[in-house]
Amino acid sequence: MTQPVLSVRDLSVTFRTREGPAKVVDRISYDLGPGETLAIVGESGSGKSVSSLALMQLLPTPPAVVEGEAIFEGRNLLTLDEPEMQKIRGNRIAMIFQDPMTSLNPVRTIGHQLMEPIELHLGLTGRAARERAIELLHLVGIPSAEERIDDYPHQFSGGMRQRVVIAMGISCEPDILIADEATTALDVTTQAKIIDEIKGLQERLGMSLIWITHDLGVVAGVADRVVVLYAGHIMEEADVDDLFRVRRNPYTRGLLASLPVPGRTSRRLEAIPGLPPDPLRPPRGCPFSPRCPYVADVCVREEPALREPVPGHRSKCHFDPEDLHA
Amino acid sequence: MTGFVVRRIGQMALALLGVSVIVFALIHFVPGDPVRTALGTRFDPDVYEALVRRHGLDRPLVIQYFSWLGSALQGDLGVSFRSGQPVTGLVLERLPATLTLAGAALAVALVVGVPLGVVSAVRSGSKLDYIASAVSQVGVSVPDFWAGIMYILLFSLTLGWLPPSGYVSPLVDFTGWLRHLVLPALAVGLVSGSIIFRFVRSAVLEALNQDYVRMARAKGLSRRAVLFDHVLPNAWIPIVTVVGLQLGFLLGGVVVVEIIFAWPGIGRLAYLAVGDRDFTVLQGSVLYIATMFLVINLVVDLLYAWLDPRVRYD
Repeated sequence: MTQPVLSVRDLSVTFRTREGPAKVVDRISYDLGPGETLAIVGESGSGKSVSSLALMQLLPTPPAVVEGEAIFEGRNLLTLDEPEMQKIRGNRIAMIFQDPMTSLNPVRTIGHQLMEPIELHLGLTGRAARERAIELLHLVGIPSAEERIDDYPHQFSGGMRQRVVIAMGISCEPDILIADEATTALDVTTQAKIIDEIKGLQERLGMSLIWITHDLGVVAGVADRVVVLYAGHIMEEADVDDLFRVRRNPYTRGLLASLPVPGRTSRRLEAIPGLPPDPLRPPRGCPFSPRCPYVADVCVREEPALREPVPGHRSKCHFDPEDLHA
Repeated sequence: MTGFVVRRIGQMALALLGVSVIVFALIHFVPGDPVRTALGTRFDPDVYEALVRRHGLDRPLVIQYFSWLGSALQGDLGVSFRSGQPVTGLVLERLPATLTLAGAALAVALVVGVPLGVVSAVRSGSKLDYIASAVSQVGVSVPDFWAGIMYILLFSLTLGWLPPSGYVSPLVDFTGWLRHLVLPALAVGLVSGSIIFRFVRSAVLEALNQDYVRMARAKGLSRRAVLFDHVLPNAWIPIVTVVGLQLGFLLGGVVVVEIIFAWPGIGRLAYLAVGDRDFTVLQGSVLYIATMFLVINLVVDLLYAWLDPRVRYD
């Protein structure tokens, strides 16, 4: 692989709570290549959002404690001071969030909110900033942007608002765009359109994309590579095609088995039995062992390493896929 | 917008009409005869009869009400049974004292409540937040009149710094006016300030936890810029509501505090009118208080439209 844009090494996030420390992200490492789309997949509470907020230093510390490294242009994002971080946020690394209904400030115009990063990072002011904002709204497919720029968020539909949020994300042509469940709140058709827009913009701007989602269907459509998170651990990492073909890890198997298959209506969807572990009381051994259908003695005794039996395909399991029999 | 204001003024008129009916009815159902009370020890059956007739008290209640309403609409609220002075004049006379106290108390409340509330919310969980929250808990729990008595005991009687009670017109003696104002303004303002503090703190905390605040931070805005440009503009909306309510309450005259400090405001006027069964004065003061509340409410509603683009009145 070429030089990665972002190298995350042993990133851990622990929340100090009254009942003790809760480690919600546990030593995760991954690389993000230039122009690459990395999907981070996991259930709610798997640590996917928290790990990205930690990269941006957007977690309140305390109660969060962030450890590890995230190397971006030779500098560790996790130790940069606030003014340095402000120059990176929204400029070099942008982040857009789940809910388009709440990501926009209801008492500020779309234009005001869109021009903020433009004025801040690109140094444009007045008419120039406004023109750039209108251009961005056109780019994300908002009709008659010249008039709509002075509207307030409540005058936009959900899909339109998410387009505005995306426009904010790409306003300074960042090197990395982190999309945290960016299309989850939208209906399926709008979702597909927005995904297309983002992919198109990615090609045009050459940015790398971290796509955080729980939706494996979306993953198959957008990602080059996938990191599967469970209880704060990376369970599996692979190219998207390999992941869907080989399924080295029992957790990934469980996730994929729980997807509906079009045409097969009679089959009951398989759910993974049990619940993710309580981060205050993580299980000994493999984090997935309490729910794993292939669990063996070694799994409860020892935490498996994230092995790389095939180059480019990592799996956190004591066993190889051909040895797994329920 | 104009349509809204006209409609609201119409509603206000209706509300005032309702208030006047209720007050009129209540006063007349409460035992006590104003004329007998006014005459006191100088009671004489002939004088009594004459006075009753002069005030129209021998007529049926409904007639009395409409005759009062008729004059009230022309700005004449009748004359006091007690002193024979016009009620409109009596109310207007008390207005400066009440406005002064309300203004000063609100100033104290805002100066204390708003900045502390914002800082407490921004640093929630800090020592400052705990202390301010605890003190405000005391502030909302302690009655203003009790606080007033304590201030008099401490600052007037023990330390001798400030006069214990009374009122001087600022036109006569500005420093004296100020010195008389301090204690009642603190007694009332610190209570209102505690209430405002709690609302500001929770409104700012609520706004701080919104997604658009995180989004603004993710755009690279500093904490300060996010606070002033995103958090506060949203927090003002609930804050304006509570400040409006507090102001309405203050403009109505803070009855017990006005009495403790012998402050010649509307609250004291109404209180004395109750004791004297001085119907017309009581009616006039209550009408004034209700008007103040309604006007403040209208202003608050108009402020909403100005602060929140989602609110439009047309």
